[in-house]
Amino acid sequence: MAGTLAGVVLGLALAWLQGALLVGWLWPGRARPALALLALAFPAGLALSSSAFFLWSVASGGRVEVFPVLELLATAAAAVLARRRARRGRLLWPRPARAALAWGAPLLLVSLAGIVLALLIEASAAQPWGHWDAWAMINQKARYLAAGGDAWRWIFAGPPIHHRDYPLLLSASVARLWSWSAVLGAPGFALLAPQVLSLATFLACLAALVAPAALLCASGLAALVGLGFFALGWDLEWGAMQYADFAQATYLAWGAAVLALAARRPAAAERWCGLLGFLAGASAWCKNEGLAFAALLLVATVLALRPRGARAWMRLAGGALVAGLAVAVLKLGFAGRSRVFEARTRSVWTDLGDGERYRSLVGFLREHVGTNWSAGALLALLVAALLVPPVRRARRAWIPLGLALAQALVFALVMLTTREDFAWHLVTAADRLLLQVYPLALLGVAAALRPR
Amino acid sequence: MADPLDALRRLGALLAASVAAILCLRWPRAAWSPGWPVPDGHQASLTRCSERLAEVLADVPRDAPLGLLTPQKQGEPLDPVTNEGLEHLKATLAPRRLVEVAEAERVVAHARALVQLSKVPGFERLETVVPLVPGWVLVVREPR
Repeated sequence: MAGTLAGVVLGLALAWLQGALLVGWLWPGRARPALALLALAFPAGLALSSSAFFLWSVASGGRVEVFPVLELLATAAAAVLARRRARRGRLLWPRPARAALAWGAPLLLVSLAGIVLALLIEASAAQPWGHWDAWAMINQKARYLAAGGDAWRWIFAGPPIHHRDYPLLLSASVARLWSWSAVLGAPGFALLAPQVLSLATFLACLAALVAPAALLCASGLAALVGLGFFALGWDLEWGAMQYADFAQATYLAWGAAVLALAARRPAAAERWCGLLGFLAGASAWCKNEGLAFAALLLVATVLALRPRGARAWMRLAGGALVAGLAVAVLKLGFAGRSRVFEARTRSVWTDLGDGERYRSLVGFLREHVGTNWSAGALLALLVAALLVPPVRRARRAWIPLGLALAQALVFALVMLTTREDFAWHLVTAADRLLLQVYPLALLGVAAALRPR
Repeated sequence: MADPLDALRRLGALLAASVAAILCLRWPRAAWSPGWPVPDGHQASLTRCSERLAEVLADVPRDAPLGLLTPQKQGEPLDPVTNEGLEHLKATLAPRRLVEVAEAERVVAHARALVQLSKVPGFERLETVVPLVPGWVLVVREPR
């Protein structure tokens, strides 16, 4: 148990350090918001380390047992290099607030986060294998990836595993943690790794709302945005299901937030291109929905920032390649044809013209939000933000809101034209739509209400 | 010297936040599904199945050929409960490579598929059967 725990802790800490080095390098400007960088470093490190693990498996023929040592050496070398080339800059830490309300809201947020986390830990103990996607896909693939040798290729050629073409950010992360535990004398597939990772991505999603909100809008509102996250009610249960949806929501929120920050000063916008490209690649490496978001983010970047010159485009492409290379290798080299593009019994146009499907989708979402979400007032906030005439400075708020709307539209189109059973797909995917898009919309609402 | 009014305000805010936090303790419990976080019987049964299978297979070498047999008819989907069981077993068996039943030394089989299995050479008598959980058994091939 000690070796397993040490492997999980060390593996996660190292991923966080890698993320911090990468974000520290890509974040432009001398004034650096410390909490935001810390919050972004974790998801960035997960994307970086998991894609490196997968690419190493491909290149080395599955010699995963040496990966931890190589990873440690590479991270140490990067840290030394980063220290030598460190730019002059200063870290900005939040100042302690004097007003009772200003520190009461964060206190409440931390208390509520602690309570929810305790419940999620209880849920993880009660259902140690997580739910369907975890045991049938994510962690099953992780076992093959962690086994080494040729075993990792059996994901694509062995016993039928669902969604062989799916991106592997979580699977490779779980496998990587197992390889760290193995190096520390605890080989095997302890369920602790996916459980901890599930909770960590849940917290990362919360941080992906609060930290950017503190930069984009009035700082007092950031904690309220965090509290708004808990309006998801019992959908928060997904935090213990070992699914990739909160991780996906994290990359969506960060992608939109960084673009909104970059849009503040269009003249210096190209300096953000590397980070935006990386977040697009990380999103694509997380889930198939993330591929759609990556495309939307890149298009939005081009429209909002209008990058000029080869340097800006190189930064955008280079950033995207850091996490996106693994997606390209997976999709082009191993995954085969996606089920989405297989032969259909009904044409796409027939499905799109089927009014019953639209009614079912709207009815399901209405019922789900009505019965499961405990704070309909937050939806009222969204409507209010749409109705309140946007002030000039709030224009960038439309970036998260626009991306949320576009992502929801893509999601809905995929559901409406599904080649699976429509009712099944609706029940399976509609929750995910809400989980992934809601934080993004919340961020946009906050930025629209009180822009900084 | 600290302003006593300021200290009072801080204390008041702390009390208010504590009350709110206690309310929040009740809120998630009430807001979330009544059975959560305790899993339903089916979920618990799947976990037991995986634990039992891992226990049974602990001494079996990882490269030993294993088969998996379901009561699925060609082209027809499994019923949801059996399908969930099957996926859970596959998750437990991973990263073992599954082979065709005819080439396997051991077969994890659904009870409804045992008649089908008894027609495979080496599995005719079905005497060496290890129960896993209701519905699923492990069948070991008889010596050739």
